[in-house]
Amino acid sequence: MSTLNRKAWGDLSRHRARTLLTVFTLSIAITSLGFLAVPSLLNTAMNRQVSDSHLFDVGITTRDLDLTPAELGELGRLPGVAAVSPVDGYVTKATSAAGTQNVGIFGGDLAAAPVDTVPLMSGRMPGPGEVLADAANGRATDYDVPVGGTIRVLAADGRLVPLRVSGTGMNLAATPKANGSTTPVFYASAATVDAITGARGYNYLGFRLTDDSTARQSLVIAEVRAYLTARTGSDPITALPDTRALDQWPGKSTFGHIMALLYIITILAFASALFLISATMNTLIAEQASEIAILKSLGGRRRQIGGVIVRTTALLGGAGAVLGTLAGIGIAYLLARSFAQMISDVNVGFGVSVPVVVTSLVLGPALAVAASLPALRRALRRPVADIMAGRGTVAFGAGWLDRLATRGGARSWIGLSGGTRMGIRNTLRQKRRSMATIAQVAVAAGLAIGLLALGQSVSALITRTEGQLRFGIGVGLTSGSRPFGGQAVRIAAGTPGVTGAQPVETSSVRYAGQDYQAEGLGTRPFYSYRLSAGRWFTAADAAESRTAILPVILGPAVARTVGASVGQVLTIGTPAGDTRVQVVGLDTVYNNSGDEVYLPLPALERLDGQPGAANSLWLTTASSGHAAIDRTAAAVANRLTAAGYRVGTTDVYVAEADATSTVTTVLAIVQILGLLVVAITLMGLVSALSMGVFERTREIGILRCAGARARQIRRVFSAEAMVLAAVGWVVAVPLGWLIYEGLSALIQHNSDITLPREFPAVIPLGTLAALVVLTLIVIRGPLRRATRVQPGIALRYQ
Amino acid sequence: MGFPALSGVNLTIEAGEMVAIIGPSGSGKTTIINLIAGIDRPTAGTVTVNGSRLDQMTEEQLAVWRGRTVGIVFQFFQLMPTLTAVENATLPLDLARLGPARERRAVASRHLAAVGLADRGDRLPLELSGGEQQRVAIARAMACEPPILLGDEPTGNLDTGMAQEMLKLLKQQNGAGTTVVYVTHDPGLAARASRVISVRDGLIVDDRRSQERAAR
Repeated sequence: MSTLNRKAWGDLSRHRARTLLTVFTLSIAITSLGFLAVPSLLNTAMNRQVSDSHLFDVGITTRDLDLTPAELGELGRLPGVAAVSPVDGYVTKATSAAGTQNVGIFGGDLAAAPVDTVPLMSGRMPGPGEVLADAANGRATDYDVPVGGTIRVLAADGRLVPLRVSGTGMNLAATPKANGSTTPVFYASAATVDAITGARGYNYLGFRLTDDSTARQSLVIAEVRAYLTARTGSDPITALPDTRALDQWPGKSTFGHIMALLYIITILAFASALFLISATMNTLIAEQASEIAILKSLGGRRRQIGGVIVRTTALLGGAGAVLGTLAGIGIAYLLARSFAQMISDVNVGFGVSVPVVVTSLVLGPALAVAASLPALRRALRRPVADIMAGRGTVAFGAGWLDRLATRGGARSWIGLSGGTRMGIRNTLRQKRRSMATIAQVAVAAGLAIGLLALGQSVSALITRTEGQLRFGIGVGLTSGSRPFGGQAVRIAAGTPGVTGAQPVETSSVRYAGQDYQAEGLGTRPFYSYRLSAGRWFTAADAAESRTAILPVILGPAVARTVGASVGQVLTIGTPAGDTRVQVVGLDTVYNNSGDEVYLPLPALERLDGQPGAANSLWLTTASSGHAAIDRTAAAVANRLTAAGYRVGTTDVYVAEADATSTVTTVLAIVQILGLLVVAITLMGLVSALSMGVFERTREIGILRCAGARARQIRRVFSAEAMVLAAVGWVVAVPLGWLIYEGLSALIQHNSDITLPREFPAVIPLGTLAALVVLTLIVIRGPLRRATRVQPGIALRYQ
Repeated sequence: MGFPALSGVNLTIEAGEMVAIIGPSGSGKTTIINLIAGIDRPTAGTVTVNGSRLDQMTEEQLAVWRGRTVGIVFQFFQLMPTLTAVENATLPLDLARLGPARERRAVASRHLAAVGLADRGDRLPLELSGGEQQRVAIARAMACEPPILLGDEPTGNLDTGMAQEMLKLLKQQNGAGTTVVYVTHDPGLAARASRVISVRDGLIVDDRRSQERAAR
């Protein structure tokens, strides 16, 4: 090894603590790149699950159909169809040790089904009188029945049928978590479900296609509709068919929105870390100035000297890259796993994104070298004599800012101890490093302010939206039930505790390839709409529901996506086929994230194939107490069941709590990841102070010689840290506002949700308090080091 | 593994003496000053200064003791670069919390005036010449009016004229009753002390008072 290479190694081992600090700093920057691996890891896991589940390309919900094996065979041989699996879905009430509530039971071939397979995850496949519990039931619905446990389900004839849980499985098409449902799901053989419903047949057909282009999907839907209509005498499709685009899986778009936020955090974390690396490298090179001068005086050429330092920084970068990559792999895996669990309880196996790993390993040394080049160039250009003469004192006082800080506010310094004064002015000694530290503090505190304000806005949005629903209980039909007519409305309205009942039709419509929730409402619904333009439905609209062009009112997200205005005529897809509608009003309430299309009740009932009968009821209650609502919901369900309806009830307060919980969880994840940026910042503060302690070791010795006690030394460095944190916070407030505005704009762009502006003063003030506390905590290490400096060693420190 | 900087040294300095320590580089001169100041600790033996056993004190106790008992002047001045001259001279008073806070600056200004820098108090070290910086260093060392003033080659970085000026200041302090101990390479400057101790290879090889030197 040449002497120059040996020097490069030696420079690393000479100040081990500083080398470790630098490597750690670099590793944090590289770790943040691990975020970029999350989408590919999650995509791989979800695609594996899609493949294992043989997830449908087209899913068609029908009324109960008794299809023979021959007919199923013919459906499977339709042009473009690769396979078909029928499912009999039944929602009913179940009782177990976990409680009593509505559950969905899906009957089919389970593991043997060519489409929408239910892979076994634990236990064994169910035999007669047995079910598989969906693996996500516990976490998604809080209805966890263990393997070996029993649920007693209410059969169509009123019997309670015991079903033993033989194991767990999961199908992405049905699992509650991925589909945003709170109804627990169980899987059984078709025979078991038939025994409960008392009838043979299926109400859902899942198709896998030979190619899953949109055109092919539309063609297959049309063929299936035609085939089934010909067989049964009428169109049996009761809901807008589900279609799954290539590489899509349930929850992917939600995850995409979260990832957009994560990418922003990654960029901020990386930018923050770059500041830190740059400052660290500047310090390292500045400290080698005298050695550079010595090498030059010995005849070393710039290239040779620069080569030594570049080798040292590359070694530091390499070590940081290896550590950061390992940490990044771990973080990416943990994040992908937690997102997968959040979306659908899919098990993400350990995986590595090769492009991200390679990029991380290459970027480590490259960044370290690139960050060191400006300082290196400056150091190499300095004349030898200047550098040699510069030993002994640090050039404070040359700049106007130094003079201003020294004399400009002379009066204001009175009352501050010498140590505090030194600490405050020390921030001006390494201006570049102080600027980098301030920038990092600003980015982190700004991000914290932005995210907290965003959380405030989301909470405000939820509160405002929740206030628009004026009913307490929603009653829905389960498959196979007869629809709600006037009799059902009278039964519900007559139940003790109910003060009002309205029939509502709930369905889906499609426009430009996008599905939207549709609600058929009356002229005075239990919903407080806020129109920005146009009008609500009139009695005339209800009366004219058979007219060629139906009136619609669009939710804010739909209106923005469509670019609709009042008077515009659109063609939307409905269960009955394409239908022309005219926009008569634009709503501003973010009910269902603003993705709602409202139609007159009779019109949507007709489009769903059940004119004059609805599939839901909205009920207002006498009491707003949760227990009273629960009791009233149970009473309504019992009375309707007794009258021959199969119903499920939803308490609005529960649904609202679930929605709030989901949003809060997402925000919490984003905010936790924002902590990485905060960690980098705190690392920056630790680094800046540690470097200060290293550089001023001799000064600490002098202070000790002048009689400084440990707490007085601590005061010098604490004052420095506080100034850096406080100035960083001052910059952070406007930056936080910009981040908040940017994230709000991003959410509006991605999700079409306009958040209410919430930027209360308590957020920046709270951030300042947290920053002060965190600063005091993280600087303890450097402070301890400073106070442990032995004066004898300090005075000989080079 | 280090090497012994001093070995078998038995040295007593009386209060009010002005002692010069001379010897070649690496002979152990600075180590003697550091032991007297409690900056270095002996690996064996005892160090008693002004009645205090320094080898038995903790680092924190030593810091407090130093602040009130010794003033140190270094070769490279070692002023705090971010503090003005008067602030540097006030620093030991602040650290020791001697007197009311408002009066400390006035005390420091008097010390600066005593070393001829009455009008340079608001200057930063960078704005002062080497001689001026060393005078500030003396003003700082005298801030708490300690009974002992130590100089580790206090004139090593000054020209001859400045060095003589500096010795005059030290002499003045000694005349006022302060014990002064300083290290120097210059025999001429050493000769102005009342006692000269010669150190070589960690041993005291010569120790003479001025009368003895005069007699020789």
